[in-house]
Amino acid sequence: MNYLKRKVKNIKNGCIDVFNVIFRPSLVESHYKKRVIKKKVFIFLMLLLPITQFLIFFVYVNVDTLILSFKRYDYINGDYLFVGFENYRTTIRDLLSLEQFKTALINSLLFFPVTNFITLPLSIISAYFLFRKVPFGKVFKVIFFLPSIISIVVLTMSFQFMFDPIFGPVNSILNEIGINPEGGWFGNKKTVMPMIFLYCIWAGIGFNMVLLNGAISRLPKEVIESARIDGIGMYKELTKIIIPMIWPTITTLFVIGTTAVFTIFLQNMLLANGGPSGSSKTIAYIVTELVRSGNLTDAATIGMLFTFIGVPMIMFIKRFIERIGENVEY
Amino acid sequence: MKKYVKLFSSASFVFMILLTASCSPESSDKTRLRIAFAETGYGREWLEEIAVAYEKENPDVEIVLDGNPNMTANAGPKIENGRDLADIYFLLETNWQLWATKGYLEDLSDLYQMEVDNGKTVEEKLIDEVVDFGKINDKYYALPWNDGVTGIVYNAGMFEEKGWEVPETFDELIDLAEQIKDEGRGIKPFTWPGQYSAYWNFVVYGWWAQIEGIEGMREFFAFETPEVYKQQGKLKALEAFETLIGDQSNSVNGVNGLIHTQAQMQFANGLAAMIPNGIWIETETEAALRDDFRMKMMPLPTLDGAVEPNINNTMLGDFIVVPKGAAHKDIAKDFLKFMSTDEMLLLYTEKTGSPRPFEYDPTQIEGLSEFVQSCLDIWKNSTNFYIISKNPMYFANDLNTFPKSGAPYGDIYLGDTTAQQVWQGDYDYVVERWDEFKEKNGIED
Repeated sequence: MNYLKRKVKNIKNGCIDVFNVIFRPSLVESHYKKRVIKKKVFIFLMLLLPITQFLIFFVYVNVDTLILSFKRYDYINGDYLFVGFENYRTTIRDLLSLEQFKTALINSLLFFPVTNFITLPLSIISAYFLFRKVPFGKVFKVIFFLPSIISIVVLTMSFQFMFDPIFGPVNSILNEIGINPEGGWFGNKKTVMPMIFLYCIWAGIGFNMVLLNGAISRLPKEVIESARIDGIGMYKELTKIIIPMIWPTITTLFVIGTTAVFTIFLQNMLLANGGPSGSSKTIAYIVTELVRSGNLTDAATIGMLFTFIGVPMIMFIKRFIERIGENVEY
Repeated sequence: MKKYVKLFSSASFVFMILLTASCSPESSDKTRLRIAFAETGYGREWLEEIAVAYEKENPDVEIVLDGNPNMTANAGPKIENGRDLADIYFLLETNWQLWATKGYLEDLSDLYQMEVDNGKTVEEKLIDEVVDFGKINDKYYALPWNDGVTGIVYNAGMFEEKGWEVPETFDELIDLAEQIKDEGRGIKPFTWPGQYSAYWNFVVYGWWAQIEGIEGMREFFAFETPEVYKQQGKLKALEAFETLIGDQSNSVNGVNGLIHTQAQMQFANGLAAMIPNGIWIETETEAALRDDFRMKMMPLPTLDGAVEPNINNTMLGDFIVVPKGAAHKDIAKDFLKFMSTDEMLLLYTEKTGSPRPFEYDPTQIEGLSEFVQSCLDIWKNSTNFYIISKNPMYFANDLNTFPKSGAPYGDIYLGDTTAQQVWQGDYDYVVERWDEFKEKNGIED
């Protein structure tokens, strides 16, 4: 009976369509046109904001920075003057000859191994253990993720307090066992960068872990269950199943970690003000200082110089990492 | 349903209009003068009271205050893009010359010629040495905000209790440091903020000026030749610092990692007897000080060979500007003129404990604290030294006192460099780049 009703309905609709095509072509055309216009307006409106944002905050800013890097400010005439590659010449000379620049460059480059070869593996291990539902897993999840939701100012202050030379509880314990660097943990050139790295690892694990945990929990249960039935150990499960299957997420985190080389400065500023004696500054820190002092042309030059180095470097690393791991589909 | 949606939309629209109207700065009959200020060591009470006094004399003006410790950094982008501008900005030392030459600041030359009291103009009332502070390309764009007293602050109660004498010479200061370590039962002579080690500029610049004299310092900050970096005063001052603080036992352990508030807390808690600081320390640490805590500023101990033994390093640098795009520029100038009257200058000092660089006598104020009194005595009885440079190489930050690597105090404290190396290093750095800096800043021979 239902089958019959459906057939009748189809025939009825077919007749209406034929009627519309023969007798009301203009009506159909105008309706179609309206739909197309509506669709185009919708697409236009949806794209308007991101494209405008892209044009202003990416294209304009970067083009302006590039132009600024070929200029210098003339205080007498109150205008920017074109100086060709002079800013690049002096910046490269200072990078190679001044101790402060060399230190900043080394500090920046050290963030590459720290974020990618210490923070990232620790995040993968932590995410895996949470996935395996270790006792108090949910509590650990909150503890690990807490640094990512607390303001960096508060976080750096509490971290600094832990190692305060007079009141710091961690410092007191270390002092008891004879570990007490001259000038304090953030006042000694040998300890200040390791302390900043320690902070970045502590605060960075949580952020990575959330993304990794999400990627692991989306894996097909059957694969993991069948491996477990086959008696796979935790080490093999992590290295032979989990890591290959979440490789795209690891690649993304690796690329984000690599960009830290060129962008990190806030942690160094809040923990040690770039000191002692500029020993914890990074390239991005120096750019920030230059901007604050009004020296936009030198800041733009350093920025462009490291963009020329950074973009190919990051593209190469991305391709290299993607090639290492297989593209697992599930 | 459509009816309700329309009704809701209309109601929301009317509400938004009313809300916007109520937030409009000109909603009342009064003209609103917006004042933005760096709310730091001097607090905000001074400005609140001056604002009340101004409103009393000008009932048609309402003053709105916007204080923020980070105002100096926040003001830059606003002044540059001309949006959401205050009418007056009180800011800490920064490159206002850049804003002035870019045309973002109002020309204040007419303010300098306005009569304040007793027929004196603002320019005539300003201390002679600072008149040109706000001048660039023959126009005045800034007005100096604070004058100052900086140097070594000591725990007066502790000194009296232990019977320690305030040193008059550098040698006596070294002897005192030994005495404190011997008799102080763990008290160290100094604490200081290693993360802001430029606090030692207050003392070192003072010693430098003692050796070179005011003329020598003017010559240095004119930067006419790289040979100014060979001044013996700079070397001797750094050597004095090296003798005093290069001996790590003279500082609390871990000072190199401290910020200014941590160092001030150590001083307030009696961990150290002295701290390099300025006249603002009392208001800045007010909340943390015990009622019975007593401190004073000591006249800077004199170095051997000083030509000007009685020096106060004012560290003048904080300034006041009116943006070109301000809504009420004339009222802003009138307010600044009002602030320059004797009555308001005295009120300013009474509330902040700090003088302003005008010709008046703040020591006549009654009820000042022992600390402020000690500072004002130094300010009144010393040769005040002001850092003012008209050289674009200085505004552009190509040249300064330590151009090679910034304040060298942390390195000297850690023994990573010597006074002689810093002095020679700065000279070599400047000589190598002199022509380049001149060309870069459009300076012709």
